[in-house]
Amino acid sequence: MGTDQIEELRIGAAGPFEAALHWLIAFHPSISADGAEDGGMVLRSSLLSRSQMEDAWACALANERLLAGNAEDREAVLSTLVS
Amino acid sequence: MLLVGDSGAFALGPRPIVERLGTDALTHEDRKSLAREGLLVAEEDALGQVAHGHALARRIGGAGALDYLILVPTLRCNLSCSYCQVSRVAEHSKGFDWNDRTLTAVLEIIDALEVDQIKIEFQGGEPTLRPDLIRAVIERCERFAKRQFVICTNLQRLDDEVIALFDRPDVFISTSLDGDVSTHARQRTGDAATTDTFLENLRFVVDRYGATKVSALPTVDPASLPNMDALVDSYVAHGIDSVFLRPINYQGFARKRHAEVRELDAAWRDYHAAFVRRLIERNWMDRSRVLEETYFSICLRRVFQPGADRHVDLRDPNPVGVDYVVVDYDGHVYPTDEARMLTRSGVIDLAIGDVFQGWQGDMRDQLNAHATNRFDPTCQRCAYQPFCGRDLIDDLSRYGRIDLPRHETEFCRRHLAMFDLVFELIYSEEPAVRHSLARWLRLPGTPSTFGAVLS
Repeated sequence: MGTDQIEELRIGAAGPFEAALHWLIAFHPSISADGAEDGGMVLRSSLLSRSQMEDAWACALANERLLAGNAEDREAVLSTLVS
Repeated sequence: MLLVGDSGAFALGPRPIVERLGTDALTHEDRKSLAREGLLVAEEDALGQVAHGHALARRIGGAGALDYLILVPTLRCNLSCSYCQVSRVAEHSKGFDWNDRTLTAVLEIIDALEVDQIKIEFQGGEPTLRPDLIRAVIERCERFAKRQFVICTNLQRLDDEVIALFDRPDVFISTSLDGDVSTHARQRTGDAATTDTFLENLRFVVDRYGATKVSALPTVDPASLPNMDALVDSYVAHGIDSVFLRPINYQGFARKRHAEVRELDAAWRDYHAAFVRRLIERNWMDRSRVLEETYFSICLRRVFQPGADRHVDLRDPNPVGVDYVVVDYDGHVYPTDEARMLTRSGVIDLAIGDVFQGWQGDMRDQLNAHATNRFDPTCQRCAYQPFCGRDLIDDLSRYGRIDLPRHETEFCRRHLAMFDLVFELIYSEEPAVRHSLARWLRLPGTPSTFGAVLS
């Protein structure tokens, strides 16, 4: 936390990549994302360490894949229970 | 990294497992360890599916029939606190008590309840200014197998009629104690004589009934945070071990006089966390008593014991006007006490009906269409979603709308910090921490661990 330099993390454009990136930046506004030459992305932050960015990206990607994977069934069950 | 399932099952896992979750590359061993902690159920595991469904249903719960009433028999009060949590009028004002028609309507509502248990909280104003109304309600509840009445009082005046109410075994006393004598005098009573009267009366009820019948809350000004030990000591001195650390609420008259509290800042959250840690130290040093901060304990029990607390400010879904309502001095019905305050402050009219015509209308249904966090896109991505809740009235109060992205709301920031602390302590290996967590969870012993770690 609070590093003086800007940390970078290269990520590949696989899986529910765009949604994960959207929510990653929503939850961690200190992270910016730029396109890389290989089609992937580079994440940068002056507040988070590289390890923290790796954790955050792993969470974002896992969340999106799990939410998308069973969205309809999940919503049906939860709707029933909530109502 | 913390992994949490919809049902609230959780475990710490190394980043590679999360990465494999994100790329659909779980190994056989990953699946086994996730399943062991209730975080994954195989499609062919019928029993596991049922168990997960049961856990999920238990976690979500649901509001039952109306059995909890917050009644405001009078808006008059004999104190004038600068941050009064509830709107109030001067003690001798006219027209701010229930009239006969309102009392009759309230009693008819009680008669019509189709439950065998009831909880009624008498708020105000100062409800003990009308002990006759309190008594009339209590006497009407004899038919309920289980009854609990809480009289929220400033304890400034105890007469025979009020003491007779307190003497009932089903009546509990809730009051405010803001800390040491000078703090309480500055924030509430104003002068030494009034403060002394309160402290004498508090001593009287604790001595007469024991601390289990008397609870107290401090209202804390985030701009002037009190010394933690002094605050705790003021409670301990009266035999009260639970402190509900409550910041000035951004409602009612506090909204006008303490506008800065709309957003509680990191200083408040740091203070709260330090307060909890200080209680842990004190509980470890003196294991003959268990001090607790009530809201932290509620959040902790939300993790391990869903449904253990009926704390209506933190639950999901959190429908309004279903299992509990607030009846104001004029018979208007509000979904929560905060809604009543907002209306009195002129911010927005959140009355959902009245005791004469009922409150099961469009207004309530419109609010309740948004009473869950389960489908909120931000909450769906939060590890704490199963433990957290929804508070529409809090959002309306602070922002005038309920559709802000959740992570931009004070409710979210406060509970993120709270559950960060909860899980930090769950995974602490310090014996002192485990001792307090076990006591706050009301466990007979102290487990060697509170949370699983995936290998």
